Amino acid sequence: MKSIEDWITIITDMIRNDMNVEITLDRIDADTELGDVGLGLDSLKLIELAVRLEQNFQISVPDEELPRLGGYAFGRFIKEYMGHKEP
Amino acid sequence: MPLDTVSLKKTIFQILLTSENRTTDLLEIITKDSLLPIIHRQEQTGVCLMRHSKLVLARSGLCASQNVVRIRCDAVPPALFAKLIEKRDGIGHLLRSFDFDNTRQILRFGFIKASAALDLLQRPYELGFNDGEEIPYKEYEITFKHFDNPGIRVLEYFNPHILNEVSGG
Repeated sequence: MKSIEDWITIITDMIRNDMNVEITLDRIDADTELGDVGLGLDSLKLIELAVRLEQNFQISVPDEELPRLGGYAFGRFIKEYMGHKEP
Repeated sequence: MPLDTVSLKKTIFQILLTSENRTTDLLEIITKDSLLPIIHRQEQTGVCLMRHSKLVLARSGLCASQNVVRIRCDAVPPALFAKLIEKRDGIGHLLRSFDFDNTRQILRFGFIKASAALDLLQRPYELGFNDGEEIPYKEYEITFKHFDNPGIRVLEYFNPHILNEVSGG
């Protein structure tokens, strides 16, 4: 099973390489938020990230949760949605 | 962003990210309508055929997408190329009817301001659905079995209102 740190690496690589988003934070950990105050993903990028993760890892993020994703810390997001799925 | 808008954007991303299914088929399923191709311009330079076209919904006449396509005649099955020269059918419909084995690779996709739209030669490209909304787009290549190089490169700009119309938004 992947650790939270493993998932953070997988997801940030996806954001950088597949979504072409530049991440300028020096340190990213489980407390880093996905939205404005953390990674800086806007609402469209957050939806794109959710769809990419759904397609790649067969997870499901409810539509009603998408507008709130920006306030999710990495750790919370991974625990709630990535669970024990393997890439 | 309201929830119905979020759901629409999510649906658009799902369409943009899908490379296994054909976009034309997906649009017809979503709109419950058939799509008619209108080919504005087609010109051949060397081994390449460039086609500028759009797809409109049969019932409403709404433009669903505008497309720029480059076809390499030495990298597509000859029967398909012969049909493309006739300028009657859309590429999506031709691929469905011939059912040649092929693989698709998405090169890029996302949302763009209409004023920033480019064609495949990186020249400014005018969109008919330019009302300030960001335009979803997708660029991908199709490589046919038994050919070494991609035969078709497609750049599609989607009318963002097509999904709004379907949802009543």
